[in-house]
Amino acid sequence: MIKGYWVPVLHSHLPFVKHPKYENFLEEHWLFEAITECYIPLLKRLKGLEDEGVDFRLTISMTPPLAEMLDDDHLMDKYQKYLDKQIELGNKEVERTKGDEHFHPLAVFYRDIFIESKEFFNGFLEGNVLTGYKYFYNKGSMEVITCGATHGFLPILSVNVQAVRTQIEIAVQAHTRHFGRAPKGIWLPECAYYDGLDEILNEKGIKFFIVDSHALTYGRPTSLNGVYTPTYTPSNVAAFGRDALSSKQVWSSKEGYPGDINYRDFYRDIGYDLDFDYIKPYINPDGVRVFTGYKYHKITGETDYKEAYNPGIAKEITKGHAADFHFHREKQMEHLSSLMDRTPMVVSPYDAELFGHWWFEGPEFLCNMFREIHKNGTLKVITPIEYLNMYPKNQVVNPNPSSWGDKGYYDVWLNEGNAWIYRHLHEMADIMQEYAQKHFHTNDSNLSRVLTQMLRELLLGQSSDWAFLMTTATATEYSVNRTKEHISNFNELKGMIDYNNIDFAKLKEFEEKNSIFAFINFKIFITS
Amino acid sequence: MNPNTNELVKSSMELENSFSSSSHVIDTLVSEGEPPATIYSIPDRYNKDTLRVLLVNTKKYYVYWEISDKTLEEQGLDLNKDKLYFKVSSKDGAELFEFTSSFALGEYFIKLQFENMKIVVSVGKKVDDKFEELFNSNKVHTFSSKMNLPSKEDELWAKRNLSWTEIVRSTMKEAVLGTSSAEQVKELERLRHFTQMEEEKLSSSTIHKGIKND
Repeated sequence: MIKGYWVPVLHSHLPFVKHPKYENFLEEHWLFEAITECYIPLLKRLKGLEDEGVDFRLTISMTPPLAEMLDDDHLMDKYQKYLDKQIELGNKEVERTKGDEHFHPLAVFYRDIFIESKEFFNGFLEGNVLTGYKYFYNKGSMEVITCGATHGFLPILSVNVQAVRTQIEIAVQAHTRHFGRAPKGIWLPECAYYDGLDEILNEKGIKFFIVDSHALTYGRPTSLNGVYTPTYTPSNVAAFGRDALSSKQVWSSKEGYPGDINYRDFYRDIGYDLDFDYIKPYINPDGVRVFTGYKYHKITGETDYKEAYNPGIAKEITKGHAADFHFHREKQMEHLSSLMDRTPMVVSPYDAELFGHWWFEGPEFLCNMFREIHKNGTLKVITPIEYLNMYPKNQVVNPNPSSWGDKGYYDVWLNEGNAWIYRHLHEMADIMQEYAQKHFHTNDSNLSRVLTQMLRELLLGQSSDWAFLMTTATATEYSVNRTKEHISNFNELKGMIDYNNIDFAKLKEFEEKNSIFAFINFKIFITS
Repeated sequence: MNPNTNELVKSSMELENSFSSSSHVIDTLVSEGEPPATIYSIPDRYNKDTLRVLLVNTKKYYVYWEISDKTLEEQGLDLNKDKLYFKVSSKDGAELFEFTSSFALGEYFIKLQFENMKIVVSVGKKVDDKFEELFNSNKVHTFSSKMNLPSKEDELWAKRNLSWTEIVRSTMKEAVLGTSSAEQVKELERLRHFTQMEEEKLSSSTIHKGIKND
């Protein structure tokens, strides 16, 4: 008998970062690391599950900027070079550690991961990571959903409603181009909801979205089943609430599974540990030490003392953690069942990049969880759409404005440190609307190019990542500069129109660097 | 209403604030390289009349504004001696908060709680101690930080299918299919705002008694 439904959701996102002028640009490595540590390990293991005959369901958001980067020839050429460089470092490490009973096997282990990643990338994935997602999407075991076009924080952009419509419309179009079908669901950027957003989602054909629990429990009216059944908004879009308990078991670095002392330590890395002259070719060209991915230690404890990592032991522990997670879900479902008149559902959303990057063993844990569910038969893993097909009748609730950020509201993306950006983003949206309206019927292809690039600069400036990184003081300088770059480019392009003087060299430079969404036309800002 | 709602909501909220998902992995994924090669300049001001209010949290709101030179001149405002007056009001016109500024371009964080209501900010000048509005801001619906248990009248359930939606009011005592009784017309009126998007697909025959949620 099925005691409950588990809906795991992974949110895959990275901001659009492309620097064609540079052979090696550190911030582009965010993507390369995520491919190697997160996306490929997950896809490889899911293929393994399929070969084993394990039934699984996984809902994954693939944000448009990430999909655009994964489909970008320039970036993927660089990724191939990145892999070659990592394998070269691996070979050097295998030599360097010869005779060391702890570190030599680890050097071989990592070197082989990079070799196998390259084989998988060029083989099963045919040089495009999206191929793997499409494969499972088409099989029905994966529900790929979209996100805002550039992960814009929609509540704050909503002072210009066309800015929100355009974020959603382009997201739907990009998803359709990348995956051959329109998305059924959306991961709202930062799970951020505001009053009335559902109307736009409904217009764009979106059937469901994910929100934080207080969006439903403090909704109008309160969701009578908490987050354990979805609700419908007044515009008939289903809202699924995040279950905090299952999130915490995985998210929390201290109390959660990733903190097990036998798991790999994230911070100890040969990029920081080894002699500078030896490691120099594999860190940033300017000499800034960075993570290389070669991490030889396990968490061990809370002090700086770290012991050698043992991948075999860690792999076994993921089985125990998966069994524990399954046990707690079963108990949770039993408790919830006693309070409800239908089979309960638990939605567990996580950042996809948690699995593999920060928590190295995460993809193995996830797949072991699928094995546990398959083996026990007491829980069933499903997608939101499958739940709605089983239970089409749900309470109508107008969700409370909210996000999944710290304190549950908008503080992370709007505070004393980053508020300055919104005056510009709002002004740019208003100008975009004015200029798109004014030149809507233009036959001038050059003018059209300038206006379309203005839209790209606006969209890229709207990415919530910049405000987020300013708040967390991580890559602050890059984030401030990226925001200013898009504001500056937008105004420079506007000046070309105002003074009827197009600088084609500059325009081409902007188009090559900020090349996201090659298919769009500025008119979408009006028609969306 | 589900008699266990309080427990279900409590369970839903139990750990919500004990940790945060905002500790995005991007935090650990990103590192910063060399200082940016290009320093970009951005406009100091746009010289346009602008006033916007944005939600931050249940007790904090962000207001920014710009008063154009033209408006200052037309209104005879000299901010070396005059002040701008800002009023926060609810949708029904109740004044909630006010502050002043001597700057044509500025920002202000309001730190007060306005729960679950639509608010708007107006900027103006004072003439003979009376507020004269210059223009107002966008309207925003503020956050709620408490449960809003539905009355019998407010508890609605909807049944969705691919091409239609059925609204089910849990408190309806009987389903009178296919009739046009005054009671049902009244009921449909109440449901109107919930079904705007698919109004054309809703007929009286889709109203059912519904007390079970499956």
